[in-house]
This record gives sequence, C-alpha cells and structure tokens, in this order.
Amino acid sequence: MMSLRSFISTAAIVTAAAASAADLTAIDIMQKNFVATRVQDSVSEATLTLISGQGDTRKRTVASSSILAANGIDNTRLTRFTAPADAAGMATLTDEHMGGDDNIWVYLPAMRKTRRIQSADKGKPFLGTDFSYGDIMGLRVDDWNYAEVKSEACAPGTCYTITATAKTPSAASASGYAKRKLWIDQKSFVSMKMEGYDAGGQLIKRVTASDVKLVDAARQRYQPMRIVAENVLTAHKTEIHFTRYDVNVGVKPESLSVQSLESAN
Amino acid sequence: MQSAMEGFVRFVLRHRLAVLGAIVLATIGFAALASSLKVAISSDDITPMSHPYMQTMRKVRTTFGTEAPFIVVFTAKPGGEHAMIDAYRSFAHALMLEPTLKHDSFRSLISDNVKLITHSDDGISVTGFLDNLPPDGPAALDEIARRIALSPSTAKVFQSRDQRALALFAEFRDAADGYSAGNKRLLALLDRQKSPYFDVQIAGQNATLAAIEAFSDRMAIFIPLAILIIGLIHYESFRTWQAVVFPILTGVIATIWGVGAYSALGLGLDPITALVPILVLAVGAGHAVQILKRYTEVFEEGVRSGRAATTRELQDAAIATALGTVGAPLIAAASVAITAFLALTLFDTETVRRFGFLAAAGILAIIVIEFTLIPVLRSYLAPPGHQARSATSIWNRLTDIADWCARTRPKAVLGAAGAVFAASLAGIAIIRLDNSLHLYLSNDWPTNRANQMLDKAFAGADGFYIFIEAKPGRTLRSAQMLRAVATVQATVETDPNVTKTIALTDIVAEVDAAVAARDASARTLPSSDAAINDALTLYEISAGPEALEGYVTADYRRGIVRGFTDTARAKDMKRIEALIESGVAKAALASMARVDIGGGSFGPISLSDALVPEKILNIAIIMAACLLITLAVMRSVSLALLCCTPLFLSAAFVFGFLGFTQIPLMAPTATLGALCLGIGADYAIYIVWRLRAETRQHTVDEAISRTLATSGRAVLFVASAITGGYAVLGLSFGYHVHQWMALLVGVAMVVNAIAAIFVIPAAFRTLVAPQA
Repeated sequence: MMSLRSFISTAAIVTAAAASAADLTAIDIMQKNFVATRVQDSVSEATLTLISGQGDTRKRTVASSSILAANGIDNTRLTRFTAPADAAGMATLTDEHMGGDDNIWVYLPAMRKTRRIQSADKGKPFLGTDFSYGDIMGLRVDDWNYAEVKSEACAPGTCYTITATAKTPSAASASGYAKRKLWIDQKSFVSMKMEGYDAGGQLIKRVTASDVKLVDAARQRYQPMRIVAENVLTAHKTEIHFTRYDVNVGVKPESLSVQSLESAN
Repeated sequence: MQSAMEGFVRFVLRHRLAVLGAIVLATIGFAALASSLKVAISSDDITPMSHPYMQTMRKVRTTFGTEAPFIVVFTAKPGGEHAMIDAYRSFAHALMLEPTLKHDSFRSLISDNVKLITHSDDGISVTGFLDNLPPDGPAALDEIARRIALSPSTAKVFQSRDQRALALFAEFRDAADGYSAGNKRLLALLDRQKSPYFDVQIAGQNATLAAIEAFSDRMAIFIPLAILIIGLIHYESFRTWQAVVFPILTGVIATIWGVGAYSALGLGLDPITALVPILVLAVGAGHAVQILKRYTEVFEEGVRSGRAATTRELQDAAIATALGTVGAPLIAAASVAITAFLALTLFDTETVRRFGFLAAAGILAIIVIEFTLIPVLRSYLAPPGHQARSATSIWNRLTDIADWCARTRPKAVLGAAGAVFAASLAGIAIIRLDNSLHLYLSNDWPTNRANQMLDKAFAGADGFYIFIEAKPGRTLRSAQMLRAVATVQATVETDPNVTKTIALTDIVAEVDAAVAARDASARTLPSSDAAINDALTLYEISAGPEALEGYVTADYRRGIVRGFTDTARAKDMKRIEALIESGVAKAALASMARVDIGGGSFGPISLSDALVPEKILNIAIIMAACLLITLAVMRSVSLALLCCTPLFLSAAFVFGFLGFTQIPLMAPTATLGALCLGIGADYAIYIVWRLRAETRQHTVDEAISRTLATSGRAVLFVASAITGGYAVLGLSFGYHVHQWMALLVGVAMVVNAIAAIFVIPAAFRTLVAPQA
C-alpha cells in the first residue's frame, strides 16, 4: 500500500513533470529527472562490461523486461544473463520499493532453485556492478536538499548543475552518498553526470551517461544507451551499453514473477 | 712505481691551489647530490628477484595488487568494546579514502571483498560483518564472533580467538617512499582514533620493514658519533690534532664523494647500504693513519739529516716520499678492497649489490683524496711536532708481544692460528642461515610484540602465497580444479604452523552452503561446474564488482591461495614448502595449472638460498683478487701467499664466530665477508710490504721489530678506529642488525689485526724468510 508520503511525492512529481521548463526550481528539475527515464514497460538487451583497476575486463550480456508499478515510481524488472556461458541462465527478479527494501530473487539454473536475496538499502551494488540500485532506480527526491542550480555546457547541449545533500544520515547511508553533484540535460532531464561524495566530502563515484534516445515521444521519456559508473577510490568501473531498448511493448505483469523466473528456464 | 708516485705528488703540490679548488668544487657537487638521499626499503631490493619465490611474489603483486600488508589490530579494554568497534569502523572508512591505499588488497570487516553469506527463511543474505550490530559492546563482539563462525574463511583473520581484538590489512601504493611512509600514514589516521578504551598495534611484514627503515635513520646520529669516536681513538694514538683531522677529513670527504656518486646513479639508501658511510669513514681514516705515520717518520728523518733548505721544501719532500713509499701497498690494498666490494655486485640481491658498489666507490674516493687533497692540505699546515706516543702505550705493548712471539715462538703462533682455524670451521658447520625479518628487531620491540600477539591470537603475522595459473582450456570455475585447490589447502593446513589458508574454494563453499541452507564449517564444494558457476555468479552479483578480486582474476585463469603462518623461520617455511608440493602432487593440480609458491615468509628463504653460493663466490673472487694484486705488487709468490693466507684465518674465524654465537647469516651479516677480507687484505699488505722493505736493509728479526713498531702499530690504530667507529652501532637498542654489526666488525678487526701482527711475522720468519 502506498504511504501518504509516497503519495504526496508522486503527486508532486506528476505535477512537476507537466509544468513548463521555464523558471524551474531545483526540486522541479529533480522531479522531472526522476520521471525522465521511467517508462510504462520495456524490453531491453545490454552488455555489462566490468573493468578492474588493473584493467581486467569481464563482460556479461543480459536481457531485461520491466514494468512500471501503478504508483508510477517503482519498477518490477526481470533480468536474465545470456552470456558468458558460465553465467547464462541465471536470472534475477527485482521488485523495487522506493520507500523501503527491494525484493530480489535469484534463479540458480544448476540447482534449479530460486533464492531470495535480502537487500538492505539502495547503496548495494546492482547486479554485481559498480552501479548501486539507487543509481539505476533513482533516489527519492524528498530525501535530499538541493542547491546551486546553474547552467553549464554538457555533452548533449546545456545542463542544469545541482548539488544535492542528503537530509538525514539514514538517507546518506542508504544511498551510499552524503552529497551528489548532478548535471541534468535541460532538454531531456536525463542525468548526464553524477558525482557522489561521502560524508567527508571525498568524491567516491562518478556516473556518466551518453547517447540519450527519446524512447517514448508521447510521454517524453528518454534512455541513455550508454552509462558508466566508476568507483573513484578503486578505479573499478562498469559500463552498461544497451543494444536494444523497446518501450510500451505490452509486458505482462505475470511474466515478471517468481514463477516466470523459474519457468522460463 | 715509487718514483712515479712521488712525481705525481710533486705535480699535485706544484698545482696545490688548483687541486684544492677542484676538490672543494667536487665535494660541494657530491654533497648536493648526496643531500637528497634517504633510507627507504623496497621489497624488490632486499630479496633476490630472480629466485622463483620472488618471481611468484612479483606475479602476485602484478596480478592481485598485494604483497605483504600492514596489519592493524584494535584490542578492546574492559568496557571499551563498543568504542573499539566504532574506532575500527571509522578507521577502516578513513583508510579507504586514503589516496595511496591499494584498494584491491585492503581487507577489513567492512570491505567489499569480505562479506558474510548466510541463509535464513527469508533467503540468502550477503552483508557486511559489522552491519546492524547490537548496541551493547560485549554483545556486539559476540555477534561478530557468531558471524565469523558462519564464515570459516574469515575465522582467526579478522577477530582474535578471545574475540576482543579486530584486525584489518592494508597496503599502500607509494613503495618508492618506503614502508615508513605507509606506517606514518597509518599513525596519522590512528591519531584521530586515540582513546583510553582500546589499544592499537601495527604488525605484519610491512610494519617490520617500516621499523627497519626507522632504525636505519639512526645512522644520522651514529655517523657523527662514529666520527667523534674515530677522532678520539686517533688522538689517543697520536696525541696531535692533525692526526685527528686528516684521517677524519679523508673519511668524511670520501663518504660524501661515494654517496654523491651513488646518488647520481639514482640509487637510494637502504638499511644495508646505510652502513657503508661508517665503513668508508673507518677505512679512509685507516689509510690516512698509514700515510701520516710514514710522513712523520720521513719528516723526522729529514729533520735529522738536515738535507732540505727550508721547512716547506722538507715538508714537500716528506709528503712525496711518504706517499711514494706507502703508495704501492696503499693502492694494492685499496684495489683488493675495491675488488672485494665490487664482487658483491654479482649478488642477485639489489641491496647487497648496492652495498658493494657504494663501498667500492667510497674506497676509490679515498685513494683519490689521499693522493690529492691530503698532500695539499698537509703542505699548508705546520709540520708535526715530535710527539710520539710513550713506549708504554697499549699499542706498543701489543706490538712488542707480537714481536717477541714472532722472534721466539713463531711455530707456536702458527700452531695456534691453525687450531683457531680448525675450531672456526667447526663453527661454520653450525652456522644459522636465517633471513627472517623478525630477527632484525629485538623480541621486545613493539612491532615484534605485535607480530607475536598476531601469532598467538590470530592466524599469524606471516604468510605465503600459492599462485595458480590455469593451463589453456582450464579455469578456476571448474569443479575439478577447485577440488584440487581444496586438496592442496587441506594438505598444507596439516602443518602445525599453518594456521589457515583462504582461496576461491572457501567463497564457493560458503555460498553453496548458504544456497543449500546448510552449515559452512566444512570446505564442501559443489560437485558440478554448473553449480560452481551458480555460486560464483550469485556471489558476484550480490557482493559487488570487486568481491572476488583478491582471489581470482576476471577470467578465472589465475588465482591465489593465501596461507597464514605463525612462523617465519627458515626451517619451518622449508617444511611448509615441501607440504605444499606434496599437496599439489596429491591433487594432481600440476596437470591442470602451473603452481608457484612464494611471497611473504618465503622472501627471506629466497635470500638464504641465494646467500651461500654467492658468499662462497664472493670469497673466492676476493682471494683471487688479493693473490693477483699482491703478486703484481710484491713480485713474489710466497709474499703474495703470505698476504692472502691470514685472510682465510680471519674469514673463517668471523663466520665460525657467527656459528658459535648463532647470530644468523643474513643479508646484512653476509656483507661482513667482503668487509673482513677487504680490510684484512689492507693490514696484510701493509705489513708484508714493510717486511719486504725492511729485510732489504736489516736482519729478519730487526725487520720484524721495525715493521711491527711502525706499520704494526698503524694497523692497531686503524683496527681500533674501525672497531670504535662501528661500536657506536651497539647503541642501536632494539635493532639487532646494528648491534650484531658492531660486535662482528669489532671481532673481524681484532682477528684481522692479530693475523697481521702475530701470524704474518711468524709465518714470514718461519716459512718465507728462510727461503729468501
């Protein structure tokens, strides 16, 4: 059940999305950013490339389906590993809960078993990459204070630069960042770059996006086809490169369930 | 040769101002170069890098970014449990933000590569060990212990057996700054965590190396102190300030030149090369004493003869004649010493090579200075007054006894020398070859105490690596390969000094146990490749992108087994090596992968393996050089053999002494051979040269008496100066290497001096003179 807080947040997001881009406050921009990549449903294929600080690379290809929950915020996402051969067949089902813990199930093909993985917060790594769940899902707009809205040239044209500071230690702890600096494209409202800082002001992660595509013209939804997350401290990075990203294809909710996780294998 | 040298000295004296200017400029230049030197250890420099153990270490470092960590241990005092855990967490966080930290080798209870994998009714949980601990301190420590019990790979590594201490492992990238830079960084971060509620100790191999660097910095105090001692001994010997100033000036300038030239080659000082300045000082001072003694004799003869018109003429003539007469033995002796030290450059260990080069450069500088600066300065100063030491000095008594022995009991002297030689061989037979770094420091030094605590309360302060490289077509994701690795682990874990091993097998076993909802206490591996893939992929996607980086490469073709030991002793590590090899054979792992052993406590073994053959080669080269050089100078086989024979005695005695005292033969003490033989050759050549000269004008007995009264006493002055110079290292409390060098150099000088003033005259009288 949606909490009152979530309801207010969602209402604000929807209202803000409809507003004119002119004279936007930081909150307006962040709310537009929050919904900019949220599509009704999607079917995608992507390559995840993990590059260690020593330069070793590991590649995995995945096929995903997602569907947006009725609250317009949370996604349910099923991801299957298709390569390399030793990981192929493994699948995960993520049931996102913006206001709480996500539900994650993993299907283990050799054992033909599904196991739930307990997930404590959004700062945990997403599918074993340098992205956290928060980096992929987005973070609650209300949990942050925003400052310093400026315009700055960025790859697609002009970006808003916004500094976001966690309102509470728990918000910082859950996201893994005490402060974020964001570069948000003024046209698509997609975050083109994010720098995450810890409580001591040390830069710890950098996420950059490129090759932004308009994937749902009617709703003005976008998707960057290439996203890179870099752990600044360890120099480890992950690149997600979407080779396919189709939206509004009619993904059925029942196809994104624990049963479907097992049955498809 | 004598006239050529005299001619050269007269040329120098004619251009004294130009020579002085050039020397001053050169000294300023070398001093500028030397000023940037500091003591820093690189693990590549202190071990023979061509040794298989060290090649393995290099592979581990290149592939996994790890080598040997600092181990920081937080121990809670009663009531301080919670404060200790908070400080540990806070310190680990701060460390992770340290720009020079090697993240791939950083391991703590909050690290991404150390995760707790558990199962419950709700599913699998991959969490940090310190997540959501109870607020009560003792309960929190109990909870950590409970979690660690669920994760056998972390047992004894991060929490002590009594649960009250937590450890973390860290390495830093800036190896060029040495290990003390990392130690200082840790101390600066720990300073923020200071509390009366817990204790913090820094242990591990890197902490030991940092301590050794810090001890070597003491040379900044010991060198001036050595200069003072050498000066005092010279004053006691000659009772003139010139006898103090000249030898010390020679030593100091030669040291500046040698160290400056060394620095110009881009080489750095380390704990072994840091010992060279005192050596150069002492040898330079020794040479200067021989020249000064000869100069005084010649000058006094000149005064008595009344040949020269002016004091300046008399002085210049005395300078030229003195250097002309002692020049040949001086150059011969220096050539043997230079060869002795240059022979060390054949060693496989960089630091020993550097020691050899630096010492050789220093001695070469001594020769240059003795033939340029010293005659020039000598010519500017007033001639010495007649201030010979009284006949009752200890030096005179000793040379008188040696004289009496050589003339009346030469065979007894030779018999005694033979007995000492035989006894020394018995000592050599029981020599203790051990390069363990722990031996460098005294047992009660804080770093060693911390290491001992780790050995008792944790898995141990020392360890090793087994590097596994899959053959083409194989990977470490295969059940067969992992079972073989587990067999090797199980085999080596049967050794009483191997406290545990950790590898990818442990992660797979723990994940598999969590998936199957069973206890992970046994290293039970899934039976199929597919199940292993499941476990590994599950761990990768749950624990994070770097969770397996310390265990296996991204392509799963190279992996390591980390072994923990509570010993670093050579004999224990040799036994462990045999056990690893037997495990590899038992598991038939070699058919699937190349397996290399090395790193950690095997480093000192590699040094020990290299030392003995290198030492024998080194001694053989020195003997050959001594024989050839003395043969060229003396033009007599018997005199050349006379010069070299005492070297056998002194070398045997010093290494026999090592055996009887059980002072280990290790990289620093191994330099003693070159030092002992190089300087021993010095004494022998001076004595034999003088004997040869005196027998041309006097009877054998008179020649022996005159030789011992002049060159013999000079040998004693030099030996006492070198002994005194090195003796200051005895004050280096806590650092065994300095104290052993103080003792051993003293022993070497005493035996060299005895061989020179007792054995050579006795042998000359008994064996050489009758033939002549």
